[in-house]
Amino acid sequence: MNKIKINYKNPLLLGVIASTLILNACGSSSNNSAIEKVDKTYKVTLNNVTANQPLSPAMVVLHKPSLHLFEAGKPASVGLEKLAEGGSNLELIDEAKADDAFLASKSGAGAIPPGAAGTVELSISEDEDSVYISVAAMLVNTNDAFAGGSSSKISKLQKGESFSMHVPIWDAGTEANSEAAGTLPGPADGGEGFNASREGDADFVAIHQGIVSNADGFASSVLGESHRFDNPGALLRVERID
Amino acid sequence: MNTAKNSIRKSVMGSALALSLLTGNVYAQKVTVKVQNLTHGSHFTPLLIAAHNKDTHLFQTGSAASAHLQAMAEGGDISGLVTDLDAATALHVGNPAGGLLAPGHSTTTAVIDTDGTDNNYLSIVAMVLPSNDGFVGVNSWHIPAAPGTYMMPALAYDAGTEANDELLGLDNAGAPGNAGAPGAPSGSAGAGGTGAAAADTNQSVHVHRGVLGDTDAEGGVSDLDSRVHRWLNPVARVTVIVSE
Repeated sequence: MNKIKINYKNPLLLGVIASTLILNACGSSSNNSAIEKVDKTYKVTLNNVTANQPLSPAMVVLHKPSLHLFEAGKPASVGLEKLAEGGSNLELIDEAKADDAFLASKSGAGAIPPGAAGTVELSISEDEDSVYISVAAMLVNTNDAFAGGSSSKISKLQKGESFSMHVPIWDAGTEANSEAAGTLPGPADGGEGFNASREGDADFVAIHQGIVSNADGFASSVLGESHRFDNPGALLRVERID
Repeated sequence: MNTAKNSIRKSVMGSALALSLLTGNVYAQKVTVKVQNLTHGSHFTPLLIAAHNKDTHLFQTGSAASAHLQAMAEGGDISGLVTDLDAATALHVGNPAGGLLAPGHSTTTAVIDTDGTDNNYLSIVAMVLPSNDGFVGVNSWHIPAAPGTYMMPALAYDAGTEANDELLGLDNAGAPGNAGAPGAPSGSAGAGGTGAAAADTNQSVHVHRGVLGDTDAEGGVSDLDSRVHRWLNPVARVTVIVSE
């Protein structure tokens, strides 16, 4: 009943205590050592492989495993909603920075046209041994689609090594896919970006069902057949350069 | 051998990452490649399957297609790419299916023996029919040193060299630079379309947005049937058997 039982035999708990002690020991010894700390630097390239969907400036976050820019099946954060509807990554970067698991972030300098690539470089401390990367960028000729890569582990990359992955296209679930005039911020329309209402959409993140377009019987769509897409929408390449 | 050099670079595709990180020190030299067409109603023209060095590429996503890639993507002609591979002393298998590879069907190469060479990267291309310049492709997959069976999905790309008008029956449509799709082997195609698309916005090799098609066999914008000729990625499954 009201007896509190402490299970000293719990191996998981003991493991946590033990590793904490080890970490503390490491911390004090490295503080005393004369070895200069070297940063790990990563060059991150996002290649837009869509036919006619410019990407908004890409945001790249390096983090420990518990941070998620988005999760399939769960509602988008307001920061993700602003990125996916309007192409602004400022608030999503702020959300990431407020997370305990945050390590570093960068935003690309500008939009990435179809066929082009955006590159940023990020550095973190050499001491970080559990490093993950997440990326996000809006497909701007859509209501709320974004190319998003969530939590790929990169800490095993040695200097000079790289890895590449396909980045799928997600629907943020925060704005109905009306494809209607005045609702798409990209060059196909020049309409509204972010709108706080989530009326009319599922309010969870899912793989995007694609563009219908006015070429396929959706008369009120301002999008043409060239704006359609299949997965992946982008290629991500991460190279450790230092 | 090139074991040391190859272990330095772990640039890999998607799900193959985990597999190649498990690679041991055993160096295997014999490779067979099976390609299965996963589409519902699209054929592949004669496949070109190549083992080549790390500096050789049949295509690169985000870069303009070479003239030889264009000839393959618009008309299924792999002869120019074969010339390129020979110049790079690559190993290759052309047309393992002995013609078109029908939807659902698969084909397997003879053993490709890379022993004593630096041809440790696998590339695959074939045109997707019907399309204007769509092709199934694998670009420079690093062949693992460890013996085993490796599977990967393959995407459909757009060479970016021809408008996706989806029109059949145009003169010499498979020649580079000529408009039109050169054929629709699975049937169900129409005629009399007005043209589904103007020139590509993205004129680099990119992920194909798919066939539009329509349901009007005697008109509409496209001669292709939206109920038959559409596809979604992946359009092929590649199985690589590596042995010593």
